Amino acid sequence: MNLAAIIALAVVLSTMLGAVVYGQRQSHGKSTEEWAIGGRRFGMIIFWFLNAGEIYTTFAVLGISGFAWSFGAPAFMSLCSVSLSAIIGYWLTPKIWAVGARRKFITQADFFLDAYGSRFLGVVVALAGIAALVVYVQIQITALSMIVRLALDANLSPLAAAVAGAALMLTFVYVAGLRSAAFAAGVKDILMLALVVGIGCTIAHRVGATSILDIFRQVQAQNPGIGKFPGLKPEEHLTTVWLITSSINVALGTWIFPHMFQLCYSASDANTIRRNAIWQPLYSLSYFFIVLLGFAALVAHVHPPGGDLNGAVLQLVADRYPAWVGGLLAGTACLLALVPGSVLLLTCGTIFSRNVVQAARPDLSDRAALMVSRGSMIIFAGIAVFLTVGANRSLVTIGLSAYASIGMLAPGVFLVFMKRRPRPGALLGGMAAGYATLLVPAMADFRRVHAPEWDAGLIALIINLLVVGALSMALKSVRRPAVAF
Amino acid sequence: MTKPSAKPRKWHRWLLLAPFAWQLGAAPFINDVEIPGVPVPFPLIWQMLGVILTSVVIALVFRMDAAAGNVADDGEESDV
Repeated sequence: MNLAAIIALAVVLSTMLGAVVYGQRQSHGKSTEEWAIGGRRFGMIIFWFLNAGEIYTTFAVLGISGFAWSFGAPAFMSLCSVSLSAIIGYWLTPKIWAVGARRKFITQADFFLDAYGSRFLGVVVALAGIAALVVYVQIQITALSMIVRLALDANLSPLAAAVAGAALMLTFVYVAGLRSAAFAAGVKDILMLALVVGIGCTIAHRVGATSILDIFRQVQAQNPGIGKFPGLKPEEHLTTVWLITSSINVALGTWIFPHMFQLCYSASDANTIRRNAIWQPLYSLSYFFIVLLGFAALVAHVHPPGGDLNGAVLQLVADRYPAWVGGLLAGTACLLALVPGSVLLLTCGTIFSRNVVQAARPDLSDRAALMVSRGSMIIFAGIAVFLTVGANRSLVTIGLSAYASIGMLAPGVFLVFMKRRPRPGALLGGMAAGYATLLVPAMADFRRVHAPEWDAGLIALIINLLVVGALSMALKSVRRPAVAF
Repeated sequence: MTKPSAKPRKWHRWLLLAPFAWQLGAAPFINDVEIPGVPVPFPLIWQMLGVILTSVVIALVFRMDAAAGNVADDGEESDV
């Protein structure tokens, strides 16, 4: 094993160990509520790190830099997604938190079940949430398997590397809960921020430029048009229309993810969430350096293995820096995938046991429920591994499809807070129409021909909403008091 | 979204739309701007300014919400 691999492994293992010790010292008992939402007691700092942990994932660091390397300006979209999500969050999440605290919700499906009073809808929402989360786990496993192959052994098969990544993630969830994840999120964020800024500030002379500004100068001289939309590959239709539609869809979808719901519940009070929304956007300013690294990789003409755009920056640092820096970055990038990935799996497991199994067997004990949720996570991780293998797509592209999929639940969340709430049947009809827009090949082709620049998720969301509206008029909506369920 | 009730005014929440106008609405119009002598692409600078604007706007709205008494710690809001 080489030095870089040893350092990478040391970073991952020591953080995991620290997280487990921290989690056990701070935890209060072993209930599902404690394991899944930290007993609803998270204050400002720990909540900040958990939230930021969701921002600093492989999607951001490896995905965005790879996007900048491959397409150019479309990577700037990352600067819109965090800030605009924070705005939606400022308005929406205190409401989600308040209802959750009052009614003791743990999952998102709890929220739907209570708001719409339909068990069938509750189960459908649970499964739809899990489906979107598995796609999100796929991002993390795609990244993990790439890092494992880059750092440890290039000859490892993609399947073996993906399985190794999934196993690591499962181990972490089993020994840890949400509290440990928050600790590990803090460590990985500090490490990543230090590395991104540190490498960003020193990269210039290592790629033959005189300054950061010179990197921008060179990259634009070598690749005319890289600094504005549609970037380097006009045939991909990543225009400003794409920027607008995909950013709106991401902003609307962010808080609809089941794990973000659980994150809301974990806050100790509503103002913790509101204050967090103020500071969260500023964190994304560091994406400047991530874009810069993608551009530096272009200037340096790096060749990531297999042309995998997600590996561009790791390859750049491996080529141009001492082994220990490469190891530190690889290890931290592993954490970027492991920590959010484990939160996602934890959410999948909780939803499955609580809203699918317990919907059928209400007499299940809390202990048995915990067993079911831990067992089911192996299956969900397995599905994510299956989706990973053979795909060499951009992490950003996979991410956008996860947002498209979770967007199907958005009408049900936003409309709860309206004076007139739609009927469960209308929501189900809207979801069916939205999924059809995304998945039926004929409709996907129609989209590609007639609205190639539009984000698929936003089109599906609009169709979903139109169908909900039409069915509501046909079925008559239910008038209920607005806030109190 | 909802009809205004007799209680706190919430018109200031419309400010929250400003970052959308900046980061998305203006994006097509600033796409071709180049500042001579500044090699950082202008659309990138524009989006970073948008991020800062967002934080400022949310902080402002939070203060105005607090002044209007609609940020109770228990998340209760008067009309929504």
